[in-house]
Amino acid sequence: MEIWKEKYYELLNYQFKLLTRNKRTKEIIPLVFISPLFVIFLSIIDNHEHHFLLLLSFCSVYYIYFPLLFSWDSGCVRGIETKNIFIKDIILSKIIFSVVLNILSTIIVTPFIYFSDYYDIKEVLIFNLFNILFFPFIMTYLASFNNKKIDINQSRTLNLEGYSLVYVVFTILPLFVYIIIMILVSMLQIEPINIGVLLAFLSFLNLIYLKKWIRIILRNLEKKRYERLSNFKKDD
Amino acid sequence: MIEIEQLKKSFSMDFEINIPNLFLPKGKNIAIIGNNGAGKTTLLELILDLKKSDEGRILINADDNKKFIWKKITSSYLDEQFLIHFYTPKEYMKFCSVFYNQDFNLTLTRLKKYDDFFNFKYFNEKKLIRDYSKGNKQKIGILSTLVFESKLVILDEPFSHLDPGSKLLLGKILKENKSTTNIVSTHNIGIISKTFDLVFLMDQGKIIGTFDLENNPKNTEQLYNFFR
Repeated sequence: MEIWKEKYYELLNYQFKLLTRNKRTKEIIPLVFISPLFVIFLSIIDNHEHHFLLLLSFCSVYYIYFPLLFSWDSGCVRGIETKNIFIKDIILSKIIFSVVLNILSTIIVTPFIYFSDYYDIKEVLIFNLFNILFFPFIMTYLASFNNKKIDINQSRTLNLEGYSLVYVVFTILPLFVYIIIMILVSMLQIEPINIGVLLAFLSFLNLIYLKKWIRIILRNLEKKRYERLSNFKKDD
Repeated sequence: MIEIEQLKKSFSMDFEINIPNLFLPKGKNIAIIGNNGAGKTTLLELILDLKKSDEGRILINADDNKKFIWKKITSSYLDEQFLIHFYTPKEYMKFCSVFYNQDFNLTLTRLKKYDDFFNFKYFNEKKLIRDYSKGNKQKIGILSTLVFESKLVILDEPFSHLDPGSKLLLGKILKENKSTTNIVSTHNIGIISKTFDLVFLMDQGKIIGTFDLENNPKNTEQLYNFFR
Protein backbone atom coordinates (compact mmCIF):
# COMPACT_ATOMS: atom_id res chain seq x y z
CA MET A 1 0.00 0.00 0.00
CA GLU A 2 1.27 3.47 -0.78
CA ILE A 3 2.35 5.46 2.26
CA TRP A 4 -0.36 8.14 2.00
CA LYS A 5 -3.06 5.49 1.63
CA GLU A 6 -1.73 3.70 4.68
CA LYS A 7 -1.71 6.98 6.63
CA TYR A 8 -5.28 7.85 5.72
CA TYR A 9 -6.42 4.32 6.40
CA GLU A 10 -4.81 4.55 9.85
CA LEU A 11 -6.35 7.98 10.56
CA LEU A 12 -9.82 6.83 9.49
CA ASN A 13 -9.37 3.71 11.56
CA TYR A 14 -8.47 5.99 14.49
CA GLN A 15 -11.72 7.96 14.00
CA PHE A 16 -13.71 4.73 13.84
CA LYS A 17 -12.16 3.33 17.00
CA LEU A 18 -12.59 6.64 18.76
CA LEU A 19 -16.31 6.51 17.97
CA THR A 20 -16.87 2.86 18.83
CA ARG A 21 -14.59 2.23 21.79
CA ASN A 22 -15.44 5.07 24.14
CA LYS A 23 -18.51 5.35 26.31
CA ARG A 24 -19.54 8.85 25.37
CA THR A 25 -19.01 8.53 21.62
CA LYS A 26 -20.51 5.05 21.53
CA GLU A 27 -23.80 6.40 22.88
CA ILE A 28 -24.03 8.77 19.90
CA ILE A 29 -24.25 6.02 17.28
CA PRO A 30 -27.89 4.97 17.92
CA LEU A 31 -28.93 8.64 18.15
CA VAL A 32 -27.51 9.32 14.69
CA PHE A 33 -29.92 6.83 13.21
CA ILE A 34 -32.86 7.17 15.58
CA SER A 35 -33.35 10.93 15.37
CA PRO A 36 -33.94 11.10 11.59
CA LEU A 37 -36.50 8.34 11.93
CA PHE A 38 -38.16 10.21 14.75
CA VAL A 39 -38.48 13.41 12.70
CA ILE A 40 -39.91 11.43 9.78
CA PHE A 41 -42.39 9.80 12.14
CA LEU A 42 -43.43 13.23 13.45
CA SER A 43 -43.93 14.44 9.92
CA ILE A 44 -46.07 11.43 9.03
CA ILE A 45 -48.45 11.78 11.95
CA ASP A 46 -48.64 15.49 11.21
CA ASN A 47 -49.52 14.68 7.60
CA HIS A 48 -47.49 17.57 6.20
CA GLU A 49 -44.55 17.76 3.92
CA HIS A 50 -41.89 19.55 5.91
CA HIS A 51 -38.91 19.74 3.67
CA PHE A 52 -36.96 21.70 6.18
CA LEU A 53 -37.63 19.00 8.76
CA LEU A 54 -36.38 16.42 6.34
CA LEU A 55 -33.16 18.31 5.85
CA LEU A 56 -32.89 18.87 9.56
CA SER A 57 -33.50 15.23 10.34
CA PHE A 58 -30.38 14.13 8.55
CA CYS A 59 -28.38 16.74 10.32
CA SER A 60 -29.01 15.39 13.80
CA VAL A 61 -25.54 13.86 13.67
CA TYR A 62 -24.10 17.35 13.40
CA TYR A 63 -25.56 18.53 16.66
CA ILE A 64 -24.14 15.63 18.60
CA TYR A 65 -20.94 14.63 16.90
CA PHE A 66 -19.56 17.75 15.22
CA PRO A 67 -19.42 20.40 17.97
CA LEU A 68 -16.91 18.20 19.77
CA LEU A 69 -15.06 17.01 16.69
CA PHE A 70 -11.67 18.15 17.97
CA SER A 71 -12.50 17.75 21.64
CA TRP A 72 -12.93 13.99 21.14
CA ASP A 73 -9.15 13.87 20.77
CA SER A 74 -8.47 15.73 24.01
CA GLY A 75 -7.28 12.57 25.82
CA CYS A 76 -4.46 11.89 23.38
CA VAL A 77 -3.92 15.20 21.62
CA ARG A 78 -0.42 15.76 23.04
CA GLY A 79 0.74 12.48 21.52
CA ILE A 80 -0.84 13.23 18.17
CA GLU A 81 0.61 16.74 18.05
CA THR A 82 4.13 15.47 18.67
CA LYS A 83 4.06 12.48 16.31
CA ASN A 84 4.98 12.74 12.67
CA ILE A 85 1.39 13.55 11.67
CA PHE A 86 0.34 16.63 9.75
CA ILE A 87 -2.67 18.42 11.23
CA LYS A 88 -4.14 18.95 7.77
CA ASP A 89 -4.26 15.16 7.37
CA ILE A 90 -6.16 14.90 10.63
CA ILE A 91 -8.64 17.55 9.46
CA LEU A 92 -9.17 15.79 6.15
CA SER A 93 -9.60 12.42 7.83
CA LYS A 94 -12.23 13.92 10.14
CA ILE A 95 -14.11 15.39 7.18
CA ILE A 96 -13.94 12.11 5.23
CA PHE A 97 -15.10 10.16 8.26
CA SER A 98 -18.04 12.53 8.79
CA VAL A 99 -19.01 12.22 5.14
CA VAL A 100 -18.92 8.43 5.42
CA LEU A 101 -21.00 8.59 8.60
CA ASN A 102 -23.62 10.70 6.84
CA ILE A 103 -23.69 8.44 3.82
CA LEU A 104 -24.30 5.49 6.14
CA SER A 105 -27.06 7.35 7.94
CA THR A 106 -28.66 8.20 4.58
CA ILE A 107 -28.46 4.62 3.33
CA ILE A 108 -30.16 3.33 6.46
CA VAL A 109 -32.93 5.93 6.57
CA THR A 110 -33.74 6.28 2.86
CA PRO A 111 -35.79 3.02 2.56
CA PHE A 112 -38.06 4.25 5.37
CA ILE A 113 -38.73 7.43 3.44
CA TYR A 114 -39.28 5.54 0.23
CA PHE A 115 -42.02 3.47 1.79
CA SER A 116 -43.55 6.31 3.78
CA ASP A 117 -45.04 7.99 0.65
CA TYR A 118 -44.75 11.41 2.24
CA TYR A 119 -41.61 12.53 0.51
CA ASP A 120 -40.34 12.53 -3.00
CA ILE A 121 -37.30 10.24 -2.95
CA LYS A 122 -35.46 12.44 -5.49
CA GLU A 123 -35.79 15.42 -3.15
CA VAL A 124 -34.62 13.37 -0.24
CA LEU A 125 -31.49 12.27 -2.05
CA ILE A 126 -30.68 15.77 -3.25
CA PHE A 127 -31.14 17.24 0.22
CA ASN A 128 -28.90 14.50 1.57
CA LEU A 129 -26.25 15.33 -0.96
CA PHE A 130 -26.16 18.80 0.55
CA ASN A 131 -25.92 17.34 4.03
CA ILE A 132 -23.15 14.98 3.01
CA LEU A 133 -21.02 17.30 0.90
CA PHE A 134 -21.59 20.73 2.40
CA PHE A 135 -22.24 20.52 6.10
CA PRO A 136 -19.16 18.52 7.19
CA PHE A 137 -16.91 21.35 6.01
CA ILE A 138 -18.67 24.20 7.72
CA MET A 139 -19.19 22.11 10.84
CA THR A 140 -15.53 21.10 11.01
CA TYR A 141 -14.64 24.77 10.72
CA LEU A 142 -16.99 25.66 13.59
CA ALA A 143 -15.73 22.75 15.67
CA SER A 144 -12.21 24.16 15.44
CA PHE A 145 -13.41 26.98 17.73
CA ASN A 146 -14.36 24.55 20.47
CA ASN A 147 -11.39 24.07 22.77
CA LYS A 148 -13.17 22.43 25.67
CA LYS A 149 -11.71 19.27 27.08
CA ILE A 150 -13.88 16.17 27.45
CA ASP A 151 -13.46 12.76 28.97
CA ILE A 152 -14.77 10.45 26.29
CA ASN A 153 -14.91 7.56 28.65
CA GLN A 154 -17.65 9.13 30.75
CA SER A 155 -21.32 8.45 30.02
CA ARG A 156 -23.17 10.91 27.79
CA THR A 157 -26.29 11.00 29.93
CA LEU A 158 -26.69 14.49 31.42
CA ASN A 159 -23.06 15.11 30.59
CA LEU A 160 -22.56 18.64 29.31
CA GLU A 161 -18.78 18.55 29.45
CA GLY A 162 -17.33 20.10 26.32
CA TYR A 163 -20.35 22.17 25.34
CA SER A 164 -19.81 25.86 24.87
CA LEU A 165 -21.07 28.90 23.01
CA VAL A 166 -19.95 27.23 19.81
CA TYR A 167 -22.55 24.56 20.48
CA VAL A 168 -25.30 27.19 20.37
CA VAL A 169 -23.99 28.46 17.04
CA PHE A 170 -24.01 24.89 15.79
CA THR A 171 -27.67 24.57 16.58
CA ILE A 172 -28.67 27.89 15.10
CA LEU A 173 -26.60 27.92 11.92
CA PRO A 174 -28.20 25.01 10.04
CA LEU A 175 -31.62 26.34 11.04
CA PHE A 176 -31.00 29.37 8.82
CA VAL A 177 -30.70 27.04 5.84
CA TYR A 178 -34.04 25.45 6.69
CA ILE A 179 -35.70 28.81 7.27
CA ILE A 180 -34.51 30.01 3.85
CA ILE A 181 -35.86 26.83 2.28
CA MET A 182 -39.19 27.28 4.08
CA ILE A 183 -39.44 30.86 2.81
CA LEU A 184 -38.57 29.82 -0.72
CA VAL A 185 -41.11 26.98 -0.73
CA SER A 186 -44.04 28.60 1.05
CA MET A 187 -43.75 32.25 0.09
CA LEU A 188 -42.09 32.19 -3.32
CA GLN A 189 -43.79 28.92 -4.31
CA ILE A 190 -40.55 27.43 -5.60
CA GLU A 191 -40.59 23.68 -6.11
CA PRO A 192 -38.52 21.94 -3.39
CA ILE A 193 -36.78 19.89 -6.08
CA ASN A 194 -35.37 23.07 -7.63
CA ILE A 195 -34.02 24.20 -4.27
CA GLY A 196 -32.52 20.78 -3.83
CA VAL A 197 -30.74 21.05 -7.18
CA LEU A 198 -29.35 24.44 -6.16
CA LEU A 199 -28.09 22.98 -2.87
CA ALA A 200 -26.54 20.04 -4.71
CA PHE A 201 -24.76 22.49 -7.01
CA LEU A 202 -23.46 24.37 -3.95
CA SER A 203 -22.22 21.10 -2.51
CA PHE A 204 -20.18 20.25 -5.59
CA LEU A 205 -18.83 23.78 -5.68
CA ASN A 206 -17.76 23.22 -2.11
CA LEU A 207 -15.83 20.11 -3.08
CA ILE A 208 -13.82 22.10 -5.62
CA TYR A 209 -12.65 24.36 -2.81
CA LEU A 210 -11.71 21.45 -0.53
CA LYS A 211 -8.07 22.53 -0.18
CA LYS A 212 -9.10 26.07 0.67
CA TRP A 213 -11.47 24.79 3.36
CA ILE A 214 -8.72 22.69 4.93
CA ARG A 215 -6.34 25.66 4.86
CA ILE A 216 -8.91 27.85 6.63
CA ILE A 217 -9.58 25.21 9.30
CA LEU A 218 -5.85 24.57 9.73
CA ARG A 219 -5.14 28.28 10.18
CA ASN A 220 -7.84 28.48 12.82
CA LEU A 221 -6.52 25.44 14.68
CA GLU A 222 -2.96 26.74 14.57
CA LYS A 223 -4.05 30.11 15.89
CA LYS A 224 -5.57 28.39 18.92
CA ARG A 225 -2.98 25.62 19.20
CA TYR A 226 -1.50 26.53 22.59
CA GLU A 227 -4.88 27.40 24.10
CA ARG A 228 -6.27 24.07 22.92
CA LEU A 229 -3.28 22.10 24.17
CA SER A 230 -3.44 23.82 27.52
CA ASN A 231 -7.20 23.21 27.88
CA PHE A 232 -6.91 19.58 26.84
CA LYS A 233 -4.07 18.85 29.25
CA LYS A 234 -5.08 16.28 31.80
CA ASP A 235 -5.20 17.51 35.36
CA ASP A 236 -3.17 15.04 37.35
CA MET B 1 21.20 19.01 18.00
CA ILE B 2 19.14 21.42 20.13
CA GLU B 3 20.01 25.06 20.64
CA ILE B 4 18.05 27.24 22.99
CA GLU B 5 18.43 31.00 22.70
CA GLN B 6 17.09 33.60 25.13
CA LEU B 7 14.19 31.38 26.14
CA LYS B 8 11.68 32.92 28.54
CA LYS B 9 8.31 31.73 29.70
CA SER B 10 6.53 33.31 32.65
CA PHE B 11 3.82 31.61 34.65
CA SER B 12 3.42 33.81 37.67
CA MET B 13 5.17 36.65 39.43
CA ASP B 14 7.60 34.30 41.13
CA PHE B 15 8.21 31.61 38.52
CA GLU B 16 9.56 31.76 35.01
CA ILE B 17 11.66 29.64 32.69
CA ASN B 18 14.71 31.69 31.84
CA ILE B 19 17.42 30.01 29.78
CA PRO B 20 19.69 32.51 28.00
CA ASN B 21 21.70 29.90 26.17
CA LEU B 22 21.75 26.12 26.10
CA PHE B 23 23.18 23.59 23.69
CA LEU B 24 22.18 19.93 23.83
CA PRO B 25 24.69 18.01 21.69
CA LYS B 26 23.92 15.22 19.24
CA GLY B 27 24.33 11.56 20.15
CA LYS B 28 24.54 12.05 23.90
CA ASN B 29 22.48 10.77 26.78
CA ILE B 30 21.35 13.97 28.42
CA ALA B 31 19.59 14.23 31.77
CA ILE B 32 17.77 17.24 33.11
CA ILE B 33 17.46 16.98 36.85
CA GLY B 34 16.01 19.15 39.54
CA ASN B 35 13.53 19.28 42.37
CA ASN B 36 9.76 19.31 41.86
CA GLY B 37 8.66 22.49 40.14
CA ALA B 38 12.12 23.27 38.81
CA GLY B 39 10.71 23.56 35.27
CA LYS B 40 12.01 20.32 33.72
CA THR B 41 8.71 19.21 32.16
CA THR B 42 7.95 22.75 30.98
CA LEU B 43 11.32 22.89 29.24
CA LEU B 44 10.57 19.62 27.43
CA GLU B 45 7.10 20.94 26.50
CA LEU B 46 8.69 24.08 25.11
CA ILE B 47 11.11 21.98 23.03
CA LEU B 48 8.16 19.97 21.66
CA ASP B 49 6.20 23.19 21.05
CA LEU B 50 3.40 22.12 23.36
CA LYS B 51 3.75 25.45 25.14
CA LYS B 52 4.39 28.86 23.70
CA SER B 53 7.46 30.73 24.87
CA ASP B 54 7.23 34.44 25.66
CA GLU B 55 10.64 35.13 24.18
CA GLY B 56 13.49 33.36 22.45
CA ARG B 57 13.65 30.39 20.16
CA ILE B 58 14.51 26.72 20.06
CA LEU B 59 16.37 25.20 17.14
CA ILE B 60 16.32 21.47 16.52
CA ASN B 61 18.89 20.45 13.93
CA ALA B 62 19.20 24.15 13.04
CA ASP B 63 15.46 24.44 12.25
CA ASP B 64 13.06 26.46 14.36
CA ASN B 65 10.89 24.04 16.33
CA LYS B 66 7.79 25.94 15.14
CA LYS B 67 8.39 24.60 11.64
CA PHE B 68 7.73 21.05 12.90
CA ILE B 69 10.53 19.54 10.83
CA TRP B 70 11.66 17.89 14.08
CA LYS B 71 8.55 15.68 14.05
CA LYS B 72 10.17 13.37 11.47
CA ILE B 73 13.16 12.61 13.69
CA THR B 74 11.66 12.87 17.17
CA SER B 75 9.88 10.40 19.41
CA SER B 76 8.66 11.56 22.76
CA TYR B 77 6.74 10.46 25.79
CA LEU B 78 5.95 12.96 28.53
CA ASP B 79 2.72 11.63 30.02
CA GLU B 80 -0.26 9.34 29.45
CA GLN B 81 -1.80 11.80 26.99
CA PHE B 82 0.91 10.73 24.57
CA LEU B 83 -0.82 7.34 24.26
CA ILE B 84 -4.04 6.49 22.45
CA HIS B 85 -5.83 4.94 25.38
CA PHE B 86 -8.57 3.24 23.35
CA TYR B 87 -6.02 1.24 21.34
CA THR B 88 -4.42 -2.04 22.27
CA PRO B 89 -0.61 -1.85 22.59
CA LYS B 90 -0.25 -3.64 19.24
CA GLU B 91 -2.65 -1.27 17.46
CA TYR B 92 -0.82 1.68 18.97
CA MET B 93 2.55 0.43 17.75
CA LYS B 94 1.06 -0.12 14.29
CA PHE B 95 -0.32 3.43 14.31
CA CYS B 96 3.11 4.82 15.24
CA SER B 97 4.87 2.57 12.67
CA VAL B 98 2.79 4.05 9.85
CA PHE B 99 3.65 7.62 10.78
CA TYR B 100 7.33 6.92 11.35
CA ASN B 101 7.46 5.08 8.00
CA GLN B 102 8.63 1.85 9.54
CA ASP B 103 7.44 -1.59 8.48
CA PHE B 104 5.22 -3.02 11.22
CA ASN B 105 6.97 -6.40 11.12
CA LEU B 106 10.25 -4.63 11.80
CA THR B 107 8.58 -2.84 14.73
CA LEU B 108 7.43 -6.19 16.13
CA THR B 109 10.91 -7.67 15.72
CA ARG B 110 12.40 -4.72 17.58
CA LEU B 111 9.76 -4.97 20.30
CA LYS B 112 10.81 -8.59 20.91
CA LYS B 113 14.26 -7.22 21.77
CA TYR B 114 12.68 -5.40 24.73
CA ASP B 115 10.85 -8.48 26.01
CA ASP B 116 12.56 -8.21 29.42
CA PHE B 117 11.36 -4.63 29.79
CA PHE B 118 7.77 -5.16 28.61
CA ASN B 119 6.57 -8.69 28.05
CA PHE B 120 5.98 -9.24 24.34
CA LYS B 121 2.90 -11.39 25.08
CA TYR B 122 1.00 -8.18 25.91
CA PHE B 123 1.19 -7.27 22.22
CA ASN B 124 -1.04 -10.22 21.41
CA GLU B 125 -3.68 -9.27 23.98
CA LYS B 126 -6.94 -7.47 23.22
CA LYS B 127 -6.70 -5.35 26.38
CA LEU B 128 -6.88 -1.61 25.74
CA ILE B 129 -4.05 0.65 26.90
CA ARG B 130 -6.36 2.47 29.37
CA ASP B 131 -6.88 -0.82 31.24
CA TYR B 132 -3.17 -1.31 31.92
CA SER B 133 -1.47 -0.24 35.14
CA LYS B 134 0.33 3.11 35.28
CA GLY B 135 3.70 1.39 35.10
CA ASN B 136 2.78 -0.66 32.05
CA LYS B 137 1.30 2.39 30.30
CA GLN B 138 4.60 4.11 30.92
CA LYS B 139 6.48 1.15 29.45
CA ILE B 140 4.30 1.20 26.30
CA GLY B 141 4.95 4.93 25.94
CA ILE B 142 8.70 4.51 26.42
CA LEU B 143 8.86 1.60 23.97
CA SER B 144 6.99 3.64 21.36
CA THR B 145 9.87 6.11 21.46
CA LEU B 146 12.62 3.49 21.30
CA VAL B 147 11.51 1.07 18.57
CA PHE B 148 11.51 3.63 15.76
CA GLU B 149 15.18 4.52 16.26
CA SER B 150 14.42 8.21 15.97
CA LYS B 151 17.38 10.56 16.08
CA LEU B 152 15.93 12.39 19.05
CA VAL B 153 14.15 10.78 22.00
CA ILE B 154 12.54 12.94 24.68
CA LEU B 155 11.28 11.35 27.90
CA ASP B 156 9.82 12.96 31.00
CA GLU B 157 10.51 11.11 34.24
CA PRO B 158 10.54 7.68 32.58
CA PHE B 159 11.72 5.96 35.77
CA SER B 160 8.95 7.27 38.01
CA HIS B 161 6.34 4.46 37.85
CA LEU B 162 8.66 1.59 37.09
CA ASP B 163 9.64 -1.30 39.34
CA PRO B 164 13.32 -1.37 40.46
CA GLY B 165 14.30 -4.02 37.90
CA SER B 166 12.72 -2.11 35.02
CA LYS B 167 14.40 1.11 36.15
CA LEU B 168 17.84 -0.49 35.88
CA LEU B 169 16.93 -2.11 32.58
CA LEU B 170 15.72 1.18 31.11
CA GLY B 171 18.92 2.85 32.25
CA LYS B 172 20.88 0.14 30.42
CA ILE B 173 18.72 0.45 27.28
CA LEU B 174 19.24 4.22 27.16
CA LYS B 175 22.97 3.82 27.76
CA GLU B 176 23.28 1.34 24.88
CA ASN B 177 21.14 3.48 22.58
CA LYS B 178 24.12 5.28 21.05
CA SER B 179 22.54 6.18 17.71
CA THR B 180 20.09 8.63 19.25
CA THR B 181 20.15 11.76 21.34
CA ASN B 182 18.21 10.97 24.50
CA ILE B 183 16.91 13.86 26.55
CA VAL B 184 15.45 12.67 29.81
CA SER B 185 14.14 14.57 32.79
CA THR B 186 14.41 12.65 36.00
CA HIS B 187 14.57 12.73 39.78
CA ASN B 188 16.35 9.43 39.96
CA ILE B 189 19.84 10.46 40.91
CA GLY B 190 21.00 6.89 41.50
CA ILE B 191 20.65 5.97 37.83
CA ILE B 192 22.12 9.17 36.44
CA SER B 193 25.82 8.38 36.91
CA LYS B 194 25.49 4.98 35.22
CA THR B 195 23.37 6.15 32.30
CA PHE B 196 23.96 9.73 31.25
CA ASP B 197 26.85 11.54 29.59
CA LEU B 198 25.74 15.05 30.34
CA VAL B 199 23.57 16.36 33.16
CA PHE B 200 21.89 19.74 33.45
CA LEU B 201 20.72 20.80 36.86
CA MET B 202 17.61 22.97 36.93
CA ASP B 203 16.17 25.10 39.68
CA GLN B 204 13.49 27.83 39.62
CA GLY B 205 13.32 27.66 35.81
CA LYS B 206 17.03 28.19 35.31
CA ILE B 207 19.95 25.92 34.44
CA ILE B 208 22.19 26.23 37.48
CA GLY B 209 24.78 23.59 36.70
CA THR B 210 26.22 21.43 33.94
CA PHE B 211 28.03 18.17 34.65
CA ASP B 212 29.98 16.31 32.01
CA LEU B 213 29.95 12.77 33.39
CA GLU B 214 31.27 11.17 30.21
CA ASN B 215 34.66 12.88 30.27
CA ASN B 216 34.87 13.56 33.96
CA PRO B 217 33.14 10.91 36.11
CA LYS B 218 34.34 12.74 39.24
CA ASN B 219 31.58 15.27 38.54
CA THR B 220 29.12 12.72 39.90
CA GLU B 221 30.27 13.51 43.42
CA GLN B 222 29.77 17.22 42.82
CA LEU B 223 26.28 16.49 41.50
CA TYR B 224 25.37 14.50 44.59
CA ASN B 225 26.59 17.37 46.77
CA PHE B 226 23.89 19.61 45.33
CA PHE B 227 21.21 17.38 46.79
CA ARG B 228 22.82 16.81 50.17
